[in-house]
Amino acid sequence: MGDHMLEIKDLRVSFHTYAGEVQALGGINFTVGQSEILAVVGESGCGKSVTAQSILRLHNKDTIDYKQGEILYKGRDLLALSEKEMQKIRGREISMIFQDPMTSLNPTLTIGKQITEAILKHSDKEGNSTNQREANKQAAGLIRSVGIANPDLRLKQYPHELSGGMRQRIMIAIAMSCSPEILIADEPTTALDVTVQAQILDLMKALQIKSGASIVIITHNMGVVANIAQKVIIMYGGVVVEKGTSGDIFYRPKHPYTWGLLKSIFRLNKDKNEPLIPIDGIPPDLLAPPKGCPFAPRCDYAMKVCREQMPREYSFGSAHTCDCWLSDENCPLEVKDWRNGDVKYKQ
Amino acid sequence: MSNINSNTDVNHSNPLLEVRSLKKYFKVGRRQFLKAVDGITFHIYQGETFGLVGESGCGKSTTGRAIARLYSLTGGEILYDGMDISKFKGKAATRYAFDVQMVFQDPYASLDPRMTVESIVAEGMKIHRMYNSEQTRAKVYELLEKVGLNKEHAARFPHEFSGGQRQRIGIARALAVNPKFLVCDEPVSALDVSIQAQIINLLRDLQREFNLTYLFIAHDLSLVKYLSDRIGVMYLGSLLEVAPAEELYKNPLHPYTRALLSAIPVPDPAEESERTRILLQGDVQSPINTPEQCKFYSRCKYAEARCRERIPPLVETTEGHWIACALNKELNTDAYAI
Repeated sequence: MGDHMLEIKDLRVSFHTYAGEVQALGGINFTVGQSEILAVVGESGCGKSVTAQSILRLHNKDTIDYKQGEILYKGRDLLALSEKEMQKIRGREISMIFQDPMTSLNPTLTIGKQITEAILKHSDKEGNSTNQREANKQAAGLIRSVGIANPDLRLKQYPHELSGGMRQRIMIAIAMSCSPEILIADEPTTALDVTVQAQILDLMKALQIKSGASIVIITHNMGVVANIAQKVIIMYGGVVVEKGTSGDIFYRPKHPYTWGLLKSIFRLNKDKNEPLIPIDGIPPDLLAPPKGCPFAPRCDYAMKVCREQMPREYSFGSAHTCDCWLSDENCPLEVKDWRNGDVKYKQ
Repeated sequence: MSNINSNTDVNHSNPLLEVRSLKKYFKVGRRQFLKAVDGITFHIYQGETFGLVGESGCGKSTTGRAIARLYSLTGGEILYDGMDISKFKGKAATRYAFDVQMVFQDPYASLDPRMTVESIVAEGMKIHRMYNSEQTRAKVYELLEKVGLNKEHAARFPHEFSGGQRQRIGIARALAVNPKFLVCDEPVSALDVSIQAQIINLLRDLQREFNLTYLFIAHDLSLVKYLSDRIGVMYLGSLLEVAPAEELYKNPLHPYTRALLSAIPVPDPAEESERTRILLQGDVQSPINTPEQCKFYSRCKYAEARCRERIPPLVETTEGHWIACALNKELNTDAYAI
């Protein structure tokens, strides 16, 4: 350990709203290694986007409250940096692409202007700044590298002249323009059609291999996770409930929420006779987060302790952890087969 | 129970709905027409679920809306029980409005925020004067329970519900007038994964209970495959392939269907890393004034001169498996194997 690009330590984040304090993150821990692709999975409202946006400190200072914890980028706590220092991190060290390529580009500026903006703003790693002409040349190269033909024409066009897939490619080109160490992609393919999604995922993987950057991809699509991720963290109700390698999560899941997710997704190769098992109930209200495990009200295996006390993190092997009382050695229940809910009481 | 999808007895001799050479163009400028649906033909049997898939802008929603009589047609006809729906007037039109109901995609936008759940669900019953007020209320309670809500929810407003619950309200509203046919336009795509499964199971149970016929429109092929008996694949206003769900998945013929199937990521890392993907070149063409040729021509790796001669008609290659491709049966040969 130690060579983590990014380390999130016990991060607690709340928002102040008219309705009261919303506890968006209830103490999360995870790390991102060098050149690693990490997927953050969860349903809407689970805190996955808040996590991403907290890393870049994109929230309004007046509403967000970083209660506790650290976000260490190469050992420096990003939460302790001044806004000016943070500006130097954004784009050059850590950059981000957003879900909706239709609204995250500025409709009144040409594509060229938007790509060169970042290049001109940040001097390169050696400290040399660039002029507009060189920046244009770089921008054309970037557009080509994300698989768009005719870059000189594209530079002069406006976002509305491009399709959704192309706009997302432009977003990726902008994000990669200053060769960041970490690329955060918040649902980068959710708004796109599947055939375009396949193209964008391939592009991200190719760029990752070429640049060596780490990627944090936020998604709710388990197919996308299986396609691209090496490591996965599963979030629910503002906490990380399970993390591990992609193989751990898909083949050796430990948390009942992960089981539920895997059982409720539609698979192309799924037999029609195989029932589709939804997770009953609805996600917790973070205005009044439950006392114990946030998943307990919807969990088939919930015990008394689950509703009283938050479980600690249990380890399985090197990178696989699960926050669930079922993993405790004193737990009276043993789940034999999570696929059909086979449970027995330990003697 | 042999097959979950054989919810109801599908009557294969008698299509409930027939769509013939349906065209819907929207005028977008001088001599400029957006060809949303450009001559599609299919039929839906009584009691079955017909899935319509395709990417955004392919015309699947327009088709659904045309069937619900929300549009006047540019060409072609839609027959319901053998009768042309565009000719329905007076009583027949009312009858059709009872029989065919829609469930919409966005549960946040499709419920009036100023109406209570009770008035939303009861609206259709009141307009059609189906019951007196006591009966109406009882019916509302019954419907809410059917869709997994309860009567305490009746007095509340839409904003007090989650997305999944709102979609349940939308389904209760659709069922209120005892329909026979539901057009479900992306009913779960705005919902979270775990909630999607709840709604899909609900739709399937309701189909069994009320002997409903569904047109299920969605972009998610794995979801459509799970729910449908037969599936139609649309691209840029054309229907390219129609086949039973299992057959379409096991033996896709049209080059576009193959690409679409291969693009869907499978939630299994080992399988996913071994899959070969057919990547489509370029983007979808503009649907404005598309030429009279195969719509997939510009992106198809098998494209030939004959593909430009006309829009290929839908032809049956093997029983129940239809494709619209100039290459037609040749796609079944080794030369075009995947």
